[in-house]
Amino acid sequence: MRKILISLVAVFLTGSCVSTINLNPDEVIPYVYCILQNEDLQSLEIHYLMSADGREKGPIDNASAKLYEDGCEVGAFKSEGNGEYTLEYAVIPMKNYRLSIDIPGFETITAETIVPGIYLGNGEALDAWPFANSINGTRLIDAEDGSNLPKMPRGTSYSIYSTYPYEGAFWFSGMDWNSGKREWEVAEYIASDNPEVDNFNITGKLFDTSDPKVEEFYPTVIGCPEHSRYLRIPTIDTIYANDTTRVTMFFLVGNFSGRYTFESDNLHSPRNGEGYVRAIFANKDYDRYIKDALIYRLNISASDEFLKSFYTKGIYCNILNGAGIFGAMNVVALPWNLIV
Amino acid sequence: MKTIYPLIVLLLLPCAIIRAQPAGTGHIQDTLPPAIKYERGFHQIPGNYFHTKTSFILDKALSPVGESDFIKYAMTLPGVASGAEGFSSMYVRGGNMGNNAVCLDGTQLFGYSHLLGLTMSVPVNAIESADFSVGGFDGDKMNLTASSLDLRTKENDFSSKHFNTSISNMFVGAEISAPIIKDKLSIFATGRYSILGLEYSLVKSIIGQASSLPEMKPASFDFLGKLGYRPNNKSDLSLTLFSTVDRYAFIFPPDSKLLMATNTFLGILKHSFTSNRTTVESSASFNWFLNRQQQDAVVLGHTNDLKLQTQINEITLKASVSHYLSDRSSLKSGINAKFASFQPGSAKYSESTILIVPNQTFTTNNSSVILSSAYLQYNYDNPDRYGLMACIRGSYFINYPETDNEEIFHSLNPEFSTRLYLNIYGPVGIEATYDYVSQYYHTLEGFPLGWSMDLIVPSSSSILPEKASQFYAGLFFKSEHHKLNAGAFHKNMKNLIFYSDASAIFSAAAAGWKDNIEIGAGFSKGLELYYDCSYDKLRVTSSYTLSKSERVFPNIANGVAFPAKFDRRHILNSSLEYTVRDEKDSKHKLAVSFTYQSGNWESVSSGKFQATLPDGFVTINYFNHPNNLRLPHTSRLDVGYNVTLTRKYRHSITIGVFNALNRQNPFLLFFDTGSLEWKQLSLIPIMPNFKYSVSF
Repeated sequence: MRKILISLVAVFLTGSCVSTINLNPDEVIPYVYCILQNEDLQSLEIHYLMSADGREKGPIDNASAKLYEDGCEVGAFKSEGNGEYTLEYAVIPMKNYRLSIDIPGFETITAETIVPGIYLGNGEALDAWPFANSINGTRLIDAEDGSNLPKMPRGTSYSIYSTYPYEGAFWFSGMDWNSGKREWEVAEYIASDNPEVDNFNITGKLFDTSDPKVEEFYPTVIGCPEHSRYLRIPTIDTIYANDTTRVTMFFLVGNFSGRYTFESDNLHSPRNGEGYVRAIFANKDYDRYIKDALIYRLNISASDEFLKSFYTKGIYCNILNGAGIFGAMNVVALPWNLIV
Repeated sequence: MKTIYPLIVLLLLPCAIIRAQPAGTGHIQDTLPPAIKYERGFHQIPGNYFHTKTSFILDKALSPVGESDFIKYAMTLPGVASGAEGFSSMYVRGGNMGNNAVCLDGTQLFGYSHLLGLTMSVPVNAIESADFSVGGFDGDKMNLTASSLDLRTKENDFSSKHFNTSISNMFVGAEISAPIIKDKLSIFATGRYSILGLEYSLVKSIIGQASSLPEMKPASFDFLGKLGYRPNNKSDLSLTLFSTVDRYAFIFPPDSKLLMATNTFLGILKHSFTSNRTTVESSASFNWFLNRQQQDAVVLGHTNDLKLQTQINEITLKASVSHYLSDRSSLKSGINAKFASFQPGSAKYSESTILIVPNQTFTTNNSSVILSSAYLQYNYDNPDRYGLMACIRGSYFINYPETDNEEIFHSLNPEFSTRLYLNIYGPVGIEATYDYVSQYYHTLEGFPLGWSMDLIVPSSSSILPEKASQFYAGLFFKSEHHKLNAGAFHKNMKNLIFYSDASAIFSAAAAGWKDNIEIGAGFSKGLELYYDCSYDKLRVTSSYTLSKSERVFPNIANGVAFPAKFDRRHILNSSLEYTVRDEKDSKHKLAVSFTYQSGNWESVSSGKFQATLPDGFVTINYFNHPNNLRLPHTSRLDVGYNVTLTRKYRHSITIGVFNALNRQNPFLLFFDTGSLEWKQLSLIPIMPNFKYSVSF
């Protein structure tokens, strides 16, 4: 990019010049990362921003961090060293939380966020239906298109209910089991027939498959745009704002290569060797942070520093007197299947 | 970069610019009663910075390529901050570059620059006059919130022939004007073609293998033709065609390529009828604009061919009636309807030679819009005592998006403009303007060059119409040789767009422009001063602006106000024109201009952090807020000397030096990860230019 611009400039202006200037904009700024989760243990990271040339400035272990719930203190984070802190506390849905951090030599760092509700099942927010052709999954499709469909979805379908009152977004990923590393990895791409998916991270390709099983189970996803690693579906946005009874049903497919299993209608935690669909509900703060960071990773981080100099917004941060993010999320593992 | 420097010297050599002179006066139909006429020059009516004939700006030393340019002239006036030095980006009273409307015969030009913004694409010799206003907007000025630059093409000459030819370091051009049927039918045509490609090839061949410059195949040309028909003394019918092309192909070893292209085609059919006190004008125009990038892009490990383009097709129908109630007052009303289709930031990939998505784009943002407006305007003008203009306009905008998940967007907006002046005592008076205006087409600004590669998008449910309200009040003084205007303005802007990722214009990310838009507000206030001293042989003008412009975006920097990128606190422009010799067959003029501007703002990261994602980390620059570092000030001295010889033919030669002090004014900063140092990029060093034209 720099070569292009300088060439353009040189051609037209006959003499652009680059000179070194003495500028040290580095400031000592604390960076905070704290995402509340539907677990009994909350974690917090605090360290200094790196310098512009990437030099680490180290963790902050002498901070005093407290969590407040609707204005009342619920506990203080305990330092675990290396800038990491923990607090044994199970957050409550719909409550407002405030993080307050005191670091010697700095103004008090504060941030606020709202924890979303537990959402899986009972039509609250998100449901996963195995074997969609049995009862639930094909119900809408039959009603709309008749019963003589040449190819009928038979895979797992997912439903998002507009009654879910939290502002944020669902982030779906295919989790692939890596037998070598013996851990799950996010599949490189994922596609869906949901028209309300955010297209910010489409790869430019449309989903196609040579696997007859995939084609048989998920025909409606064939030809849909592939998304890089994540599918983002916003909840309270223009999509659900005017329709409180809306249900969005959709199917997901990606380059999942593991053996994805689902035992009847019962959910279970993914076992080693099984792939699954991970659904994260990120509240509005965390949602913006993820999306901005992904946009940066997709479009900016691979380019040179000259091009990066035109990226001036940075990513979303909601930390007062510091940098970073204080958000909340819920994570669940969902089934996905190719088995009749 | 070092290989650039020899090129600097070599490219300076063939700097031959020509400025075509106006070919004859032609028939100018002037229906204004004498009392309503105002002088050509600066600020004769409040808010109207100039209404000037082309000849007024021809001798000014303003452009790095020597071409006379109305935008460059506008940049020397109070309240106007320039973007990149020498380019066509201007920022009026705290607005964005896209808040200015540049029109040709009343039809908005979406791409109005050549050579990536270095000069205007409308040849100046095709222009009869220009109006530049920053407030007190007339009723027919619509779809803008900062300024209006309205270029009027030459009237056809129905009685005599003229020919002009020119050559410069950037263009060769020719112009012809001739009656086809005397006093009935006449044609005017002018065109320019850039010789940049030849120069570049020459330089490459001289530098040879030592050069790391890429292969470049540039093409840049424009054409303007006007057919005029006059059935009788009261009616005029004209057809104007204007086309401009800029295309630059770069090939980087071994096989990387980049193509940038902009095309504009404009067709205007215009009719006017004039009786004693009434003028009826109607026009229909078709406006086609396309900018396109094509480049290699790596997607998921595959090298793909990425095509990005923005296209606008617009049909405009206009009609207006002006009626003079008396010698001092007039009433004007008009209607205006635009039907446009937008395809901003559409993209598609092909891998190797196989098109993955045949015959369609995978990302489209298409929409169809209708923008209609009606206005009523009253003018009263008694130059010895007071004058008043009051205008009310209603605009209705509809956007029909073609994507399923977007709603049809409607917007009805009232707009007001007024201007007045009052002579208090002798040559001293007060003047004021007020405007409340809306804008429905939005420019997502990338580099501040004023080029035509920026995306233009219509208002929608997520991008509401931009609105501005501004007030100006001041004093004026006018005597035979001296004019002075001094006043203050205050401006509020709503629904301003902040395009957060200018770097995306060079990547597939441009197709996702909706993700990089923030909507917020802007505020600007300032003092403006203009002084003009004019004698027979000498004219000195000076303008000064003291202003402050800020932005507030709820989703940026926790909603804390930050400076606008081109919030230049002090702007001083001065010029001197001196007629060295003025004889029957020769005229010599010296022009000198000087500008001083506070530095613009840059966004410099305060550090970096590793953002934590569910699948890993990404290192990201942290900004406490955008535009957090003011660059050093800009100053520049330009000098030009013009000789006009009138023998059998008329010859004009101008020698100029742009940035005569060779000051390296800052354009931007970037962090060089190789040397781990901050670097400043400056665009234009000392740059001589030369121009020659002959007309007969």
